[in-house]
Amino acid sequence: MSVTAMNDFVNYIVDVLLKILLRRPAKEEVSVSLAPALNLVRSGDFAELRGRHAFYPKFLIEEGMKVKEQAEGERIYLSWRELASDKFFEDIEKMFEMLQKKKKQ
Amino acid sequence: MAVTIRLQFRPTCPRCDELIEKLMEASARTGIEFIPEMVSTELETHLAPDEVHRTYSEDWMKAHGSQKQKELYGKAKEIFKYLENSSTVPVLIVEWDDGGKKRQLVIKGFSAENFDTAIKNLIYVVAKITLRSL
Repeated sequence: MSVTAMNDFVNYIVDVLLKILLRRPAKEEVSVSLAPALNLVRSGDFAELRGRHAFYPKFLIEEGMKVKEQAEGERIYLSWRELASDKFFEDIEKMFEMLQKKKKQ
Repeated sequence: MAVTIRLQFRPTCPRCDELIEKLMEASARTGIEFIPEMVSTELETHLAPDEVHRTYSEDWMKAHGSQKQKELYGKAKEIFKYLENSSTVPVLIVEWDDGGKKRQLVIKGFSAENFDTAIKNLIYVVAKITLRSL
């Protein structure tokens, strides 16, 4: 065995030994965090959260009855200038004709 | 067929006073029901918006607006919001009941010019509604 090979071998052994000696002790990381709902149960704030409901709490929000929106009546928007014009009669008669057609349908 | 004419007015509007006087006269002569209605967004006690500015609100646009109106509202939202806070007076509303359906003619603005023809037209419309029972 040559001197260099010896030297390499010793270096290798020292490296391995150092790795073994200087390694950090392995810690088992365990999460012990409880569900927030369970904590609340323990504190006694929410007594109803027991059993499986403690893990899957379901909060019911009571919503009011949905009321249908009031139907808007039919309306026509005009300006005063239109009302004061001479051709207003024609427009109004056309409007009434349309309303009557709608009524028949 | 009952036809009512409502006038939405503001207490600080001189044109409204003029129109109320003239419409009172017309209603006394013809027997048409006329109701003046105070409307304002400035006073705390009267938060009722008028019929014209009610249509600028987002709720109205969502509920009753056409697609084109909705698009326009999306583009010019800030202008609409500014308009929503103001109010237009006088607004004249001819209202009648058509077999359970409410129909309205909403006339906005007022000018003293051609007032007589405007009143004639208004009476003509009311007469047509009552005669044809529309």
